[in-house]
Amino acid sequence: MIDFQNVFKKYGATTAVNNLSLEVKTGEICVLIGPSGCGKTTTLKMINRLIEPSSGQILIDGRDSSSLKAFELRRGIGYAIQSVGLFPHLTVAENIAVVPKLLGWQKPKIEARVMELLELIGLEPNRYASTYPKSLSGGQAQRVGVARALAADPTVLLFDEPFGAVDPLTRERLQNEFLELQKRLKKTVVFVTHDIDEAIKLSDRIAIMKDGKLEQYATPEQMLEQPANAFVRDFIGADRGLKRLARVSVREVMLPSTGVKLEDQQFQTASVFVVDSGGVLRGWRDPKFQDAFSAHNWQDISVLENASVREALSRMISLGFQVIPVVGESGVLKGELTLEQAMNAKGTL
Amino acid sequence: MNSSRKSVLWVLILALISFALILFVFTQTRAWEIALKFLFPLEQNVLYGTATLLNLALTHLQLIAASSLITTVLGVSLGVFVTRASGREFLPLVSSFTALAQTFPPVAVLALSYPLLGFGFYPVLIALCLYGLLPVLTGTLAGIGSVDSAALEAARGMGMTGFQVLTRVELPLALRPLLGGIRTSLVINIGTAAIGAAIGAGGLGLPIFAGLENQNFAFVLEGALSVAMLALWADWVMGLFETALIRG
Repeated sequence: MIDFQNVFKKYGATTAVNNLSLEVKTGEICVLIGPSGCGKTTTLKMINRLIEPSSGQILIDGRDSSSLKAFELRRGIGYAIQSVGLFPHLTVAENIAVVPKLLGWQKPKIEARVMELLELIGLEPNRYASTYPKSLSGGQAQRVGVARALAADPTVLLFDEPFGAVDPLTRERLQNEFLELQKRLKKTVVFVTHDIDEAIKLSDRIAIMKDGKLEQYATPEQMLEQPANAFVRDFIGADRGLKRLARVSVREVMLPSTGVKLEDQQFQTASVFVVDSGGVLRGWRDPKFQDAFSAHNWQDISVLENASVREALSRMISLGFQVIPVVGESGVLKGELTLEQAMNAKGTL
Repeated sequence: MNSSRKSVLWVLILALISFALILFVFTQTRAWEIALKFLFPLEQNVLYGTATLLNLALTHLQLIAASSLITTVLGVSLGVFVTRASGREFLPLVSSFTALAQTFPPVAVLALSYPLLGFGFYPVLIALCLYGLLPVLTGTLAGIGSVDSAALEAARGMGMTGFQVLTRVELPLALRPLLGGIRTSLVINIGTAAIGAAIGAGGLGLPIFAGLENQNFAFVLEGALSVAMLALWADWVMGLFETALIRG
């Protein structure tokens, strides 16, 4: 739990954070959001004391954060930033091992932990452990940044726009992976972003700030339904209905679908989607051409089961599909989503 | 880590072997005599007689070793000091001083040092240190200045102390410009030290000046060739160290 009690941060005559009181519950993701200069990053950095508050207290799990030496406090808090800041002179494994090393872990324990984390973020240990950061893609570098923050298994994680610098597709993938990860790890996360869609998608609670003041602190559902004031309503934007769909994963609303086997010549009406013997999506039967098999890469015609309904909807619109196949990570057909179901998802909130 | 340590060891061995080889070349008086006689058949004496080439080279090397050691330690420490929070006020002063001092040619530094510091080995040593300090300091400042601010923020955010940030992140990442500065300083000093002979430091400048006075170009070539050999060797070895030490 992170507890801000009447925290101020002043720079000369300007007040960056103005009397902030906020409680982030254990195991929850709290997203700090607001326009530039609203004090969200200052608020985040006061937690690990990269910025010292001018007055007020910040309690982490009941303990005053100023009671520890700043560097000791920071070793117990995971930290990932937008520019990643991987150390270019250290290998991926050495980068991840930084905090465990600072904490004086034994070598075998560090090695085992690094391997575990590389698996966790989906980078093959044998291939990536001894490479240098410059050979990673933007998305891979961000994953390593997250792994580095998780290395010493801290209870609190601070994320400063960690997915801000990658392309939109990679960002969505990283967000989905992060949510899956959080389901297992149950960390207390404070996450700064300026992207309201990211905030709605990831958060358990959103803290929206303006000019150093907290405007509203609520679950995304509450905020979408009852914005506290005109500023919050404007900040969320007009398409509140659509934004809610970002909170629902495709898996929750999809219909089961087994698909037609590729070698199966018999016409079936049950599904138009064609899979191979391993269940991997290979294409569909096209009714315009007597249900002839039309082959496609599964990546091009499907949506992942951990994606949000909002993403699925946007994909259906761009592909022109009434029904979209839903797949797992390796392309195995898991189900299908119709436009109607996507619309109804709103009602389940 | 292991492979880089191993390659540094290899460079060290290579440097020592090549150094021994150069010293061996300096002991081959007979070969030098034959070669110079071939180039200057009309000269009676082709080799500087007052001291052996090996002795001249050793004096020269003493001057270089002492000045380079001092400039490296002093330059890097000063560069580190003015980039810390406690010394940051001095940064503008130091950078403008280095920029200004860099405009002096090394000959002028030695010429100016003579009336102030006098004649002999130590005055030349001091002058070499002062001049050699600049490239090291500039390299250190450029290196530390070039460190990605995101890496610094990450380092502090992960709980490194100020000293750990310096030794584990800043200096390793500053290595290329820093070693470049040391390399420049070393090579300049090897050349400049030859001029030091004019104000009594001895070394490989002696045959050069003696040759110029007596119109004996065999002496000049003897000294110049030896100085050039040392400078090229130092530059090559420093280059090897750079590739061995810089990672990622």
